[in-house]
Amino acid sequence: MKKAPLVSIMIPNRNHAGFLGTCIESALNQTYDNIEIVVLDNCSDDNSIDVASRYINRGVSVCRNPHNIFNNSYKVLSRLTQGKYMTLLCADDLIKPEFIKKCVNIMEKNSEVGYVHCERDYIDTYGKITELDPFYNCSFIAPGHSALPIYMLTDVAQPAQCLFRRSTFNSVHGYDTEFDHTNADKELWFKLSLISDYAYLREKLALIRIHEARESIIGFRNFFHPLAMYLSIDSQAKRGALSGCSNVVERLPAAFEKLAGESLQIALSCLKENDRGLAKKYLLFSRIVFSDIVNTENFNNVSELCARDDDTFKNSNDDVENVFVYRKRSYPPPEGYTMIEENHYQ
Amino acid sequence: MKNIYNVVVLLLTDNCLKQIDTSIESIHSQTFEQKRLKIVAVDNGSTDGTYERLIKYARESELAVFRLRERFLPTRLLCHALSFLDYINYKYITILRPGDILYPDFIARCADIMEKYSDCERGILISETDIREESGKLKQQSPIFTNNCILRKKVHYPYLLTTGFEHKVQSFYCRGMIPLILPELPFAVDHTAWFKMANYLFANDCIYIRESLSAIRDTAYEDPVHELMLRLYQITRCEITSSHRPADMPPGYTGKVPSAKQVRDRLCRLALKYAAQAVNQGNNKIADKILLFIEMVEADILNNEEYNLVKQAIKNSDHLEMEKFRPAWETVSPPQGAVII
Repeated sequence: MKKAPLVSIMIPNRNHAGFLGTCIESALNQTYDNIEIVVLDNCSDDNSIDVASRYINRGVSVCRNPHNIFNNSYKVLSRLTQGKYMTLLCADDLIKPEFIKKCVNIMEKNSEVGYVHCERDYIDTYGKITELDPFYNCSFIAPGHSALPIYMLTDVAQPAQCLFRRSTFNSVHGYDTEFDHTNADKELWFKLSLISDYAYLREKLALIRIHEARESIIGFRNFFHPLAMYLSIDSQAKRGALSGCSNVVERLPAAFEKLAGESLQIALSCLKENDRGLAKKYLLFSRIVFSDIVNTENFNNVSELCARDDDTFKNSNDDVENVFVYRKRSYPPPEGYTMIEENHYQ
Repeated sequence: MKNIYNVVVLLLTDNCLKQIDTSIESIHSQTFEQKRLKIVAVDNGSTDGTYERLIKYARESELAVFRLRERFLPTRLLCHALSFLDYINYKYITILRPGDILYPDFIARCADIMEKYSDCERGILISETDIREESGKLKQQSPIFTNNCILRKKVHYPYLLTTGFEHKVQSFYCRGMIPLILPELPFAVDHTAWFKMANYLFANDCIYIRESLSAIRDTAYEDPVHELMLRLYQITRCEITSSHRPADMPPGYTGKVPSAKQVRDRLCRLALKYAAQAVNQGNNKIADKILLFIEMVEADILNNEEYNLVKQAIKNSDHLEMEKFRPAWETVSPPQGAVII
């Protein structure tokens, strides 16, 4: 009988000793047989290396960088592994037992598919789960090109929700180490979609951890994130144009509008943390990328909060909470999709 | 004993038939020993006869030619081109764009300086260059610094980024010093010469030479707002990744470095200049955006005189005296902490 293809679960870790154990367990608990698990500790200051080394006798290979090499860990990990398929499992996230099996089934049946996304819920530091609406309204396979514009607007999924085909991953030169995570994810999905088909499973097979130390939150604080977003959206439009994808170019204004909206949300969370200086920066940024934002209610609400004098501001916690109305989502799949039935990948 | 080594001149071509002759001639007239000079041309799928012309050169001289079937974006092209050099024995490399020319002693001079000053951390040399206009006329740029110097990676690099968009330099690298990070920079798709260089500097100390040793084709920069965002992005990135506290500085550096505030001040001055230019071109929308940018970078700019001048001018559609906006890239002393050579 033909052996199931090898799947690499790559776990980069930095200072997540508290979550690392559960994360490795979730990788070990897969119902799929042929798996290699590699943990790469990015020179943590905590006892991560002790936690990880407890799993060596269960077949997990544990490695450690000489110093913090930031996102370059992903690059090292891809060289440390051999699987036909691979997933990047951040040390604070979890995958459910069926994740690998279901994703591999789809990939094996559809050789044009370069990557699969599944759905997720959020989990907090204490293990409490918050349910999220799935992004799309059904499971499907779609041509990569039709999914491109979506990644200019949103990231859809995080690495722990994704299984890649190694050959596709390598031909796009892997993960962009230049970016903070949110951007790097979107950028990776975008690059993969330029050259391969995309599959989406509307099933919750991953848990994404939401906590204070998340790198993405740090990115918001130092103002690196919005600049990278702006530049990558711009370049995505240019690369789309070069590949003859007019749908990408058409969505450029919408992408900037969305980015402006997100900046307002970040401004709001800065206000919650009492950092009005930073909130103002985000407000200005939102106007640079989309000048009409000044006519929106959200903008006026946030800038009104920013402009309050100190005393009023101290008493405005409730207002801060109530400024935004969050939309629910579940979008129709990208154009040209083929719906997939559950029995197709079970 | 005198060191013997080869130097590669890499020529990346893309439908540029009219420009390659001058560039190749300038390489052929280098004073550096010709037989130690390896010219490698990589053609990005040209269709205007560029490739055929390169073949002609290859038959007449030692020029090596590679042709790519698929067209690549600039950074990816560079990455591919470098992979063709794996089998060549060389120590230094410079990259020439068609239409750019190297003055006769460019290679000899750069190689000499590198032999003297480069080490495992100093792998890059940048030299001033003249600007070659469409007509072939040469225009001088004012140099960035008053002295030749060695700049420390990350800490001095934001300072370079606050030089004018039009300012160009020609680079000369030790083998292996063009970082692998390059092809991954997705928005380097539209990089300017500056930005390209900027990326290299992340991993390298850089030797700056204020002599003009080449002439580079004049290219327009894109949207100034985009350029400014790119610079702020790079500066922020440097600040985040810089772990170089004064104590970490290698011997030779004084240990003092320009502050984040100094760098941001310079960036704002640069931005103001472009805002004023936009006003004079009647492009108030861009000028408005640049003012927002400035406010975003430096909240206390609102009391600045030039800032308010531009603001007024946008309101009243005035014409601005450019004299008032001192170019941010006027020649200055090397930044604090650089090694003067």
